[in-house]
Amino acid sequence: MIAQGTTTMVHGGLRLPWTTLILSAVMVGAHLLFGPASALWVFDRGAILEGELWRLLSGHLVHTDTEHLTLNLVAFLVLGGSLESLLGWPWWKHLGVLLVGSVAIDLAIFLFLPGLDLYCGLSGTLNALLTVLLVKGWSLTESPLYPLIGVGAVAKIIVEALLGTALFSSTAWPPLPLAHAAGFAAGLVFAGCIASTLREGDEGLPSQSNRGARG
Amino acid sequence: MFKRLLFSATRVIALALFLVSLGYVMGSKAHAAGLLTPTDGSLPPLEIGDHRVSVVIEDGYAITTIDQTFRNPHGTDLEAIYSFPVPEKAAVSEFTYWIDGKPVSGEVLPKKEARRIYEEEKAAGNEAGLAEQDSYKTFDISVWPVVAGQDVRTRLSYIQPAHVDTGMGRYVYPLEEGGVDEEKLAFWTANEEVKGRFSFDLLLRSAYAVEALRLPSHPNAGVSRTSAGDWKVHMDNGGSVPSDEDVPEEGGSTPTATAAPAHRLDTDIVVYWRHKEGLPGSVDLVAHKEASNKSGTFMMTLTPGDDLKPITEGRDWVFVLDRSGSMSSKFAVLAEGVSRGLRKMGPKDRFRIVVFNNQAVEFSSAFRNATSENIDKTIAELSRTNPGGGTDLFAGLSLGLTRLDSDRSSGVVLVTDGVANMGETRKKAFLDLVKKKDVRLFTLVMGNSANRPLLESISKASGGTSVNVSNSDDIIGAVLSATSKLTYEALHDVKIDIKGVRVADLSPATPGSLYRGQQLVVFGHYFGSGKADLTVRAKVSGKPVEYKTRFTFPKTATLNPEVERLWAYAAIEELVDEMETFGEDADRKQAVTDLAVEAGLVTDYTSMVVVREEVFKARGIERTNAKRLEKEAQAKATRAAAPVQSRRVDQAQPAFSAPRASYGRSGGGSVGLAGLVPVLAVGAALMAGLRRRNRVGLQ
Repeated sequence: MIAQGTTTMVHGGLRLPWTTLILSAVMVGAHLLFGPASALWVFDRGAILEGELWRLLSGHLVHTDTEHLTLNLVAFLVLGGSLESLLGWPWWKHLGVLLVGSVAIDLAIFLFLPGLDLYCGLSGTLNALLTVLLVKGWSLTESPLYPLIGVGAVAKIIVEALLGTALFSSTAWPPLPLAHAAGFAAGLVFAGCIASTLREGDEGLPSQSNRGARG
Repeated sequence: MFKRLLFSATRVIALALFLVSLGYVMGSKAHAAGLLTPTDGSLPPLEIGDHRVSVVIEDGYAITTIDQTFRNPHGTDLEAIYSFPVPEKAAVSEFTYWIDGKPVSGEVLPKKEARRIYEEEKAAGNEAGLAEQDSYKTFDISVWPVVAGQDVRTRLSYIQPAHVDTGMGRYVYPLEEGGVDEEKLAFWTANEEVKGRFSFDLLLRSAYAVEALRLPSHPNAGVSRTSAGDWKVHMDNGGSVPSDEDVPEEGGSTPTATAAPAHRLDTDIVVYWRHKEGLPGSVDLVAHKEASNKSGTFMMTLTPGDDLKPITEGRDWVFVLDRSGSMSSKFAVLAEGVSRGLRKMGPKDRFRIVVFNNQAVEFSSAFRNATSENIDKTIAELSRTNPGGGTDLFAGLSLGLTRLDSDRSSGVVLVTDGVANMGETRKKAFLDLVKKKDVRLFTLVMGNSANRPLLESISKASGGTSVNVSNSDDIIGAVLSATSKLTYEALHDVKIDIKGVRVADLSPATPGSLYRGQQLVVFGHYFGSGKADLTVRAKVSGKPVEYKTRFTFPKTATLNPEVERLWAYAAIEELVDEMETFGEDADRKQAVTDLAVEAGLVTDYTSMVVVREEVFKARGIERTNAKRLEKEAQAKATRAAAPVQSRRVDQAQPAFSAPRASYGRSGGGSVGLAGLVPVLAVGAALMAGLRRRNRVGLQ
């Protein structure tokens, strides 16, 4: 397993996070080619009910303005890059987290916010990625740092929900703390579903057992 | 399944075409603000040297100041005529012309008298300037002389209310002309190129937290936030653009910019700002009353709470769309907006589409149910519609108002960018037409040159509302925003009652209807001071509702003298509306002229003339506007030096229990700078873990 894990390293270098880079290029391309919050891509309740189902996923890839895109892109490069390069996750597993997070947010909007017609942005889905990484990191190392970061992330979501706004952010459309909460919950569910593989140290980081074995 | 895929593919193609056409719209600006030159080439063109715009939005109104220079590169003295679209509800309050290096501000006189004085001074070889209004179309500035090989400097200021709708504020600096005034276009050509410095600075000061500010058509503008409600916007045409402090008020030459490429005044500058979610419904009061005066002037802004319910029963909608020649560059975008609006309809709703140019036609002889198939069919029909011809607005509206089902509630959405230039054009006829039917008319006025007074009047008469849309706006968003108002209950027959302090001259005298998210701004005079009880009465779905609060009218208030001009403008607007409806009469005309002269406003009946100080004196023209400007400049400086003040007066007894309305859309919130903390922390933790593993692995 260790040997398999080390295949993510090529003579000390990191494997390129292709899925993350391709999706980042799609987001930037959509922003540059179609403009902010492209009418063709955003989550649009009416259009989705009329059959334009691609919006359930494409809505998470477009952003309302450059600041919105930039902050989410930085976070995605860090989180997605960590999953792929540091943990060596395959593309289908990475996309799985994004898919589950996106669907959870769509469901939350349909179930709990009937008055919300339009939505866009990756931040909710990023919370799913963050949660999976936190669970994975803690499973492998049992370092208290990961639960601490998790508590901080949850506190941020709660504060945002109470204030009704995103902290230190000013995007063109109003923020939606529910999306962050739904993404976080989806990440927990995803991590739970693949719990059996989480403690395996085959993806870059040393697990407690691995470290013990190396002793 | 195949049919569904086919429909989806059709939509994708339609959207692709829309995007292409959107690019066409952005790239096809034929008419703009600029210096006018006769098309016959009888006079050589002048140049715009500098064009510097400064906007301050505070206390519910915007003050726009345009400093510019006109340059004469030719060998003979010439007259400069600068023309630009009339901004929405703008009251021109200052026209200043630098004579002998010193600023001389203008005075307002009856239109003919002002023109006569200008021509006389011009004929005598003296410096003179004139600011006139050409109905709802343009403000025109004339300056004589622009001496051969020299520059002249002018400044123009106007004030306009700055409304917020559904939590979104909007300011437009209009530059793009609609190209609907064929007579003017045949005679003049506009030079809209700024050869020297161009700059646009906007300062937004709001006591209500503003979370975001953006310029959809100018994404490269510099936007900065200085506090919760204070934002700044700056853009220029490159090079080193001097700040206001660098430009001397008297004498001396203005510093020049370096490496500033020419800028074209052909695109409206639209600024949006979004207030924080969950702000309370409120009553705000801005007043002006000097200690020596018995009466004061006020501007009261009501922002109702969001307590209006969505309408669930089926309704009938008629879309009446202008497809005249001037709409050719906008029709595809409009069609997309309408199709998006159609998709928002409920399963019980029905719709009809009427298009008009020289004549009116409709897509079907009966209402269509808002099913997916019918909507797709309609979108396809709209995409095949070719704009062209004139604008018989009356024919379009008449056809739209036929075959309405009296058993169902109906609404008409009229979208046009032009003037009624064919068929019936009398305002009275339009008003009679809409009053015959029990139907609300919602008008989307596209561009800067549409007959806004007519369209606003007929919309209001029907109990509906009108919205102005710039080509630089998010047009689809504007269409969606307007149509979304139709899906909620509204406050009808709104009445304002103030007791405890005597008030008079309220404008609007009859507020009419108020739709979800809209603010109601009421101007008036008050006598004395002290506690007053405000009651707002209205009907929602036929049932009476009431909102009450108590607040104080101040004994003295000197920070906002501009309110007097805003009140005068609103009062004039009502008088002009009456004249357009019932015909011009001497009494109303005189009342408008007197009000405009007293308040120093340029209107259809008054103009602002600038001559040398000694000529003002010799002609016996009182410097009332100069004194008013001095007072306003002092107040502006005092406001700028102090922190922004809340004008809310109903904190102690809130008039509205629910928070304000906001848009049903969300950006999900970017992760924000705060969100990057856990993201970077987990990244760092994983990286540290990896390094440790590498160390272990190397041992």
